[in-house]
Amino acid sequence: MATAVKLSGITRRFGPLKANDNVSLSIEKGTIHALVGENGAGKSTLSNIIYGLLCPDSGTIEIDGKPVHFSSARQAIDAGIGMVHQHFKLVPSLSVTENIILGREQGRFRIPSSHLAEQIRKLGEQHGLETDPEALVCHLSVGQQQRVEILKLLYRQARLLILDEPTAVLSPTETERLFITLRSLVTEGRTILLITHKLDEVLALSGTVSVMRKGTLVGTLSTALATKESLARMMVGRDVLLRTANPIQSTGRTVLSINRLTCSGLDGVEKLRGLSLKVSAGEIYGIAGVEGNGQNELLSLLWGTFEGEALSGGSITIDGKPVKGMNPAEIAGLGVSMIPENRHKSAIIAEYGIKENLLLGRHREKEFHQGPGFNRTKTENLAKALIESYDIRCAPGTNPAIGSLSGGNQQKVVLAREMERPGLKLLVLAHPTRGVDIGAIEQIHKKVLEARQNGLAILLISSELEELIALSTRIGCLFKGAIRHEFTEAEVREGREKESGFEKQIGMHIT
Amino acid sequence: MSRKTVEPFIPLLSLLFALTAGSGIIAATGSDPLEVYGKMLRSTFTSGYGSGQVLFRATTLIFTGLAVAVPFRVRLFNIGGEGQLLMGAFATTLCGITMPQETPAFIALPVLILSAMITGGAWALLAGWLKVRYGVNEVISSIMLNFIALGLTGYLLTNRFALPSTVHTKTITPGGFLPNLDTLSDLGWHSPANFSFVIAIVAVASVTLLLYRSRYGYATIASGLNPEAARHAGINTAQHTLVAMTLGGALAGLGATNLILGYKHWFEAGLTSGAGFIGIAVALLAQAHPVWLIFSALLFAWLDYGGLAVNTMVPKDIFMMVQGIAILAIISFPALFKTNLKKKVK
Repeated sequence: MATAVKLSGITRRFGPLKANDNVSLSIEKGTIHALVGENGAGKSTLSNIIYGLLCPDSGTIEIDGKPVHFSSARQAIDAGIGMVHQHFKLVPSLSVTENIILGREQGRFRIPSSHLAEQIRKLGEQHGLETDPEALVCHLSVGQQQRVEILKLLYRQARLLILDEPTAVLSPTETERLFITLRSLVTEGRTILLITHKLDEVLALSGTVSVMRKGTLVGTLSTALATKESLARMMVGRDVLLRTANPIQSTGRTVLSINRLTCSGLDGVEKLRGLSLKVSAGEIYGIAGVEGNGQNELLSLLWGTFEGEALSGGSITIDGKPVKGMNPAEIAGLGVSMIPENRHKSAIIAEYGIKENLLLGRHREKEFHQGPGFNRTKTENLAKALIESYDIRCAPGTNPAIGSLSGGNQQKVVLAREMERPGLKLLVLAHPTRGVDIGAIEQIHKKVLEARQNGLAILLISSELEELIALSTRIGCLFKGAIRHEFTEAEVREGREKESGFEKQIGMHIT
Repeated sequence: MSRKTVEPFIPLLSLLFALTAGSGIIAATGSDPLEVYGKMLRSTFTSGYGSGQVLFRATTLIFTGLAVAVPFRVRLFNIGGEGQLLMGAFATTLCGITMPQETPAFIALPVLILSAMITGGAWALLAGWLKVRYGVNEVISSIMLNFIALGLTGYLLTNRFALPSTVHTKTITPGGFLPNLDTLSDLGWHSPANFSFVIAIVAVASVTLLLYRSRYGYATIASGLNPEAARHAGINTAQHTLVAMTLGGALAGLGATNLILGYKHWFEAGLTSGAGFIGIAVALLAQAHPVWLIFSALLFAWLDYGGLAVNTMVPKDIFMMVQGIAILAIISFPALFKTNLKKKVK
């Protein structure tokens, strides 16, 4: 088979850091080639080099056997390379057609859009990417937007498609659909480079897989010979427990009780429609659901940060106390910790050091006070103890700005702070391992299960079904602002044994 | 050189750049730059009167600089120092002239100082409240409040409180006079420098402790760096915004202790000579750090008074330009370095 892309000895430095160190890789034409690795392993740098967004410091690139030097993405596009970024590059206020022809407009003054729209509609039908060419992009779902991105590449006649974490935002059904499209594109002779950290997808979809770690290419192998465990080991450099043991545990009294919760967004659209659930001590209640089905509203109502709270109906009680009208400080005072969905936005202050971030939200605890300031010895001791027990990686005795740490390390800081809150009864976790490396995921899962064993009530919201199945005691399926179906403890335990079937079952209830 | 290693030197670099550019302009007007700078140094640092003048001007600038630096911590740009200073000065004068002549100092001084702080603070709070409640840009509202303060004090002065055929009010009660530095020690400077300088230093120390050592400052800075995360951690960011803005206004108002209580003892037209505006520059040069602010205020005071001292050789306007160039350089140098580094990457 012919080679679509051949990289030899690619090295790219950012300051002292070697993001890519002597990477050599061949991608065969007509295959799906997966590129896996932890955050910061150099996957994105490598794909940006292929796409012409970055120039390598040394090494050569050959496309279809011809050496090339890209100094811009334009040249890469002309050479038949296309890329779907993790965050889509679409103009929301333009139509699908306009977005697709952007940068390729023909005709100087008037764009013959009706004829183009027809062409795009046909192109979509050919590849299972049906979209309405006239629709405005801002009215499309994430899955549809992704189809537009792919159509854009096909319209430009890309022969090599680079997809960066394409399933991160998709529901299980949309993912299935994407996979079918990708397989059909390959049979037409196109080549796909799939960048991901989801090992299941690698195994299900790709023919060949390359693993990167710390800027180097650890190995390339045929997917048929790979297992999840072997890939994880290559990525992390040691054995990784993919599934933390989840022993059976009896549950205690009800801690969180949500009763017929309703609310509308500022635009008047109903976001929650009678959501009810109960979480008991010693239990992890998992909420499965596609993003935008009311998760954000539930979280902000739980934490007292919802705007227009007065307009919401139903009740939330924690240990029998209604939380309506309380602010975050008062809710935290009841023994509640919340790990929000977006770490960077709501859980850390990037410029503050680890020490200061470990105090954030806990700076009101009398324990750490001294006069109008903080007791330095006590805050130091807290930091030392948490850095130690949560395995937060930083040079000993230093206090680096948290923004300079890896995602996994940042999340460990947040977790340490929130899980060690004195008198904690209820822990709310939203996507606790999003953007976190496999190695750190394992540690975080262990800590969460440990907390459950210590009698905490835990509410877990995650878009990773795998994570929900591994950790949850019960699972509620959230759809359009209400729990549509609840899997009992026995059902979840059974489902854990035959995971893929169970994932499909959950998937049916959330779409 | 990376951006990180350059950053601390940006104020110094831009200052050097400004002085060099100033030399060019001075040379273009036909004078010898070295001689001019030399005379500026001699007339300020070797003469007691000159040093006192610089100290006096720096005192007001420290206050108006703090008025910018404190709200800066919650990401508010308080351009309203001039108006807050004017309102504080006018309020303290009004209190001072209505008080009985024989009011003892231990009553008069606290009342007058507080009245300046409260009025300045309230004037700033107005802009802060508009921001928190309605999201009105504080830059625009505080500029407008400057105009209103200027008009209001101007009207009240000329139409109500000015002594006939003068542009100033009556003298305040003697109990409200702050001692001149000459009377505190045997300096013999015969300059307007007064006890307010000590108040300014105490204000800097208090602000530094409040911001960097107290729990309250921890929460204030957190609100400024990442309001969303601060709110999530249960910090009332709106309250911190209001307090920081009010504190800034109160500090600007404190500038009146220097101008009214320490020197003029009455309110007059053109009292502030733009100290509120120069305070913005002072805070920018110090990168809004309270301690650096003292040096930055001294520098601007030196350029200001030194410019007057060499008035016979070079027009004072030249030094206004040097001040402007310095600020422009401080603002643009970081951006310049950034783009240069970017180019290198490509």
